[in-house]
Amino acid sequence: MTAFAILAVMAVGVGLMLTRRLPTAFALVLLSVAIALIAGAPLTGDEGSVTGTVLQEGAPMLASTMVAILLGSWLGTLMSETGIASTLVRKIVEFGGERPSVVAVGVFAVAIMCGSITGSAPAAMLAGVVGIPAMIAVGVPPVVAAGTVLVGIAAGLPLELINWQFLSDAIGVPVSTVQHFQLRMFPIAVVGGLAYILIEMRRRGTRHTWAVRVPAGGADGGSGPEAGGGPDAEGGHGAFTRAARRRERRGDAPWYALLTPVVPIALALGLEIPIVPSLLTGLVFALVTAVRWREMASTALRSLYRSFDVAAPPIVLFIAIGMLLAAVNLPGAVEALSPVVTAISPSSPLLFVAVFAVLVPLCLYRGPMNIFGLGAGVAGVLISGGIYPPPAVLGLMASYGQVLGVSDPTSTQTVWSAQYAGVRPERSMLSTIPYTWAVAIAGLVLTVWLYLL
Amino acid sequence: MSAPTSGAAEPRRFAPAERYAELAALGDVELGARMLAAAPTHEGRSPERLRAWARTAIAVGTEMAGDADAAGSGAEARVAESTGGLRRDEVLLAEYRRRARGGTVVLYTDALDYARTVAEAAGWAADFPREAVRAAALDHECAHRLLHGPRGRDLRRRLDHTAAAVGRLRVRGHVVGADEIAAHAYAHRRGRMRRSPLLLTAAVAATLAHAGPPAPAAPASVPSPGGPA
Ligand SMILES: [Zn+2]
Repeated sequence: MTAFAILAVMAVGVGLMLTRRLPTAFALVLLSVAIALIAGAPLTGDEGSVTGTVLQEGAPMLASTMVAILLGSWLGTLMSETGIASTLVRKIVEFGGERPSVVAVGVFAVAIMCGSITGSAPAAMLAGVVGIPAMIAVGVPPVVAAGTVLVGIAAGLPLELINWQFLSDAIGVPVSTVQHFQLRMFPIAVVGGLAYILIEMRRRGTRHTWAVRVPAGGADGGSGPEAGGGPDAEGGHGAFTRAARRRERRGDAPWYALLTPVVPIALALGLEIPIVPSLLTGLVFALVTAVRWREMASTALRSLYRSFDVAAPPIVLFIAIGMLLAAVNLPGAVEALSPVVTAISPSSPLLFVAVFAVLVPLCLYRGPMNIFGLGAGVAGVLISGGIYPPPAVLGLMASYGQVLGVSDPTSTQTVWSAQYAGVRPERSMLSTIPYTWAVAIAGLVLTVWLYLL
Repeated sequence: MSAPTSGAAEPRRFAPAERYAELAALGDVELGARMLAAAPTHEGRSPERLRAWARTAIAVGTEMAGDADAAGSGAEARVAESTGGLRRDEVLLAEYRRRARGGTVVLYTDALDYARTVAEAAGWAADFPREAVRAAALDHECAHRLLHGPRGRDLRRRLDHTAAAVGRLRVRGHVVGADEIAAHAYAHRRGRMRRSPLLLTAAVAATLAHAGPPAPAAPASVPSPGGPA
């Protein structure tokens, strides 16, 4: 009975998020309190209470993730300010220009790097601010241009240190376990992304237009104060002065600075350095290689403060997810939910793949399998109930992450990329989902093979 | 497809008359250079460099048109007409979709009407008659088709942009947007137009700049064309 009440509350929560009556983070906090109360938790007290356990202990539960997010956002902001990301894209366009597929694959590679540094919309902007219009200018159809950036940052996700920390904190496995799975997921995501680009380019062909675009002033520059830039259409008298201003802000970065995005991952994988020092080293590398000595301290501080804007939404979300995890891990909730979830969860490996492959759409539109939302709670229940070993839950959620990172038309990176390319997010979803669904199924097979046989 | 702001041909406000006069006083090379300046990847380039590229692209486009005149080559692509060229943040006049099995040119009649209205507002009705704007769109896309072949390689060779150099080894780079200027010049020459379509493109850009990110147009908020803003 308690179980059904909790499930009903969860359904209401999904409804609130889906209809956008409430921001996801707020809905999750309310949901956490409601679940705790239904599970019979006392309002106050040291052990398993609403205020003590769910709110007080839950809020900082993902603190390590939050620090990683802040550092990743800082590095991303720095890569944008110093022109590292735009220089990478510019070089690719110059080299591959007359072959749109080559340009798209090149931007895909840059997006993988950006996605390994930071997540969601900031990563998409890093690769896409120059990359999307450049792809369109050489003949890539807009919907494919948006999709290319999205599959790129999703393919970078398995290498993203923030993501390792998050999955480690949320699922309760060591970072090394996350690495173990994600390093095997990475080639699958890369193959899926390449398949998307090459097949869709072949299917849709190239496109050249006679068109005049309003420059996306509000989207330029990725983030920060000037992102709300005024409505100045290009081709007008201010074009040169604006170009000069932009050159000042982010001229060509030197070639060795372009190695910045691979520094953190190389340290974390190659030298087994922990996540925070790996990201810090990447920051220092970017500052030393791409910023003049005299401006270093001021650039560092300015980009750090700007990155708080970028990092605020995910950090707020992770505070709420911590509370949700604390709530579903309360003894009362575990006791109530375990039998129900055990009964409906597929036990054989074949069924695991089949059932969860069918349930893939549940991670879209802020659905219950979205790990950056209620999905974290579902993962908590699957683990606390002892239904699957934690690494298998990790594999499940990481596989779903590939779908929602690309195709979810409500996620910020999808909305930004699609609109920046001039297409509706739903069209972007329809274009990418056959490929991301296939990647997710491959991830489920990988999960079974690694952890359930 | 992004939703058109409205079915009407004039959903946006127009630019002030001085702005049009200012544009009309510019030469094709300057107009082309400004178009390049707005293209992605050219943020850091000097105006001189962009003007040189614009000059080359215009020369290539004009030559292509001269050869096409001599050969009497017609369009090989299928042509379709459509509406929906007036979009939230774009005026799409024409589009060439190239696939393995032949291409299609789509003319967006509402956007072409809009461009024609802008030309009237600017006082250039005689320079850009309705039929000429339509023909320019067809020629523009025809140029894109030709640029996929040896003409594109010719353009690239003559732009002579060095993307990377190691010692004496040079890698020639792609110049984003040069094909666009060549296509404008091609249409200019092919259509025997008095002014280059580059001017029309710049004027449409000016109206978008003036109106800002276009709001969903309420008919009442549209001032009369050419009026003070
Ligand atoms: Zn064109």
